[in-house]
Amino acid sequence: MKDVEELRQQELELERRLAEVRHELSTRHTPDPVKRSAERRPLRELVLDALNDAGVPLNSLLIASVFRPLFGREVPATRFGTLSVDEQRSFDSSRPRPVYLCHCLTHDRGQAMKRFWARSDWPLEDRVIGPMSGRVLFLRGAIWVIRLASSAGEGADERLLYVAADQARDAGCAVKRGDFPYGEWITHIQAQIERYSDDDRAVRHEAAAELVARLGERELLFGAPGELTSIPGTSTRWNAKSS
Amino acid sequence: MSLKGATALVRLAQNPRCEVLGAMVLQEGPETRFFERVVGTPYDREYGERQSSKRRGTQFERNAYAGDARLLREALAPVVGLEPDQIRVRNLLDDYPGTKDDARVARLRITRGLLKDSLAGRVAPHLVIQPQLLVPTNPGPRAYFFIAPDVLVWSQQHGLYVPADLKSFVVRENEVSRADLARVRLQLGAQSLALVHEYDRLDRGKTSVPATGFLIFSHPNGLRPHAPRTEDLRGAREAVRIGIESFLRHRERIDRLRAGAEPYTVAAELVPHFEERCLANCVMSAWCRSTVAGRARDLGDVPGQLLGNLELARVTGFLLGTAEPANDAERGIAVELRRIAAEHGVRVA
Repeated sequence: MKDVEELRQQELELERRLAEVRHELSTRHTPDPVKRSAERRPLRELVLDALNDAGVPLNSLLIASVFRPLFGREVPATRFGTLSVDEQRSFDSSRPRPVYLCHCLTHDRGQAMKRFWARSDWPLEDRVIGPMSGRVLFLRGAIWVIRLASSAGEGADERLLYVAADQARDAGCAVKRGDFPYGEWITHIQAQIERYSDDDRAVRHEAAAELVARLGERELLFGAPGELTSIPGTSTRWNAKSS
Repeated sequence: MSLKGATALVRLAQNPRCEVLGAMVLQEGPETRFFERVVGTPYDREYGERQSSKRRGTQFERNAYAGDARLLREALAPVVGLEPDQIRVRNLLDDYPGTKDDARVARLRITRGLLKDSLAGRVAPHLVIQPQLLVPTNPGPRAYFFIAPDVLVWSQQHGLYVPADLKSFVVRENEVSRADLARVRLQLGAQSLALVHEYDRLDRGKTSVPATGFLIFSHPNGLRPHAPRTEDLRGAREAVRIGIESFLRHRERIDRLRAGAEPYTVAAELVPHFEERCLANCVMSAWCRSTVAGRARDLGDVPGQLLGNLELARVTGFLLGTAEPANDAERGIAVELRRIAAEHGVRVA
């Protein structure tokens, strides 16, 4: 059996080691300057910058998954709903902004696709979604993320690499654990984009010309209103409590 | 969890004779609240879907829909009759995300537009992810049921959309247990019925929606979709239709009884229909079971069917000779019970 003195020595040693581990943890958790400044910037600005960087409309799910490792920022899905409402309010106010965050529009009815975000200073044809645009936008978004990961370099948050690998896998690239062949992934995805891009571009150009003739300025940014939808039982006889 | 949408229709299809179930469907709020208000004590038993199942289901759907539904396109290409690359996809959660009613109504509007486009021969997607359909039950309270299939898939064979549902059950060789299969077929049946209604409102019955649908289970390893299973939904669709008809009858009676009050207030006056499976899927099962305590149905579905609503004491009396059968049916039961007892060497009076 160990004597008391020996146990006290052990206790001191363990306390010293614990202090070292805590110190190391605290230094590792200090956010880098980019993340710190991003934490202070409004979400709208970060999204506008991301869109500018990607050069293509982005899905809010992809934006959220990239902002986590890039800026250390969690963006819940509902936050994008609020962002959309704020942007529309801002457009309706008397103080115009140089650029708005807006939604992509469906090629036939010009209605908003709320999860696809774009910038108001882009040509309309770049914000229109044709029958195959969903795939093209996914693939182009994937390339953006893979490029981000490849240029992040040493010390980057490794979650960004995994987001890139997820995108590559979802695009049908071969993905192996711990292996990040960015160049191969991009080549593979580019080849897929080429299969659709000509037809897709033609549809979007034609649709944009029609939508411009049909919709007002606000609708071209935030979407045309939908037709009225008939829901049975909307009579005032039946209130929430009685049904 | 409240009894809404396809869940409510499946439960009504499984037990159309239960008026208490009808009241639960009419009542706003979760089932457990209904129990608490009727019984007067909190519901303290296990309830709802396991968190791990929910996570697995969410992950399976995420995998299937990722990359413009790459895995789903591959799985459903033979149904659509095109190469996966040629299949057009529209995920309505991209159009209007959310689970509240405004989002459902928006997705219903878009789904109706897509069905209209496809009937008119305009360009329409081959896969519609997270569409929204509706089964009307108006006029009256609970005037409709929102039904949301996971996918509507354009079937080359039928020239129409048919529903497909993703299930993350662990299956081997694409086979699933009988009880699970019966339940998911009913879900698919409710979706098919809702699709019939939606097509009907567009072309007044000209389109005959096939009683068929697809179940897509996950592979045991890796949550990838199996090859879709084609399901014959004639029985399931009919069962759901009967369930809805029963609900309309129950609703009429409940409305008469409650006279404007909330449905739970008349629960004691309603006729429950206790079945064995209620124990596994209804919060009111113990309460309903208490109404058949001491009777044959308390022993299970088969004794209930064989012996009707007989008291167990009376059945024992037939065996022991302490009770006299009152009619031919009871005399038959008494004779049969004694024969079985003799066969097994049980000594009776």
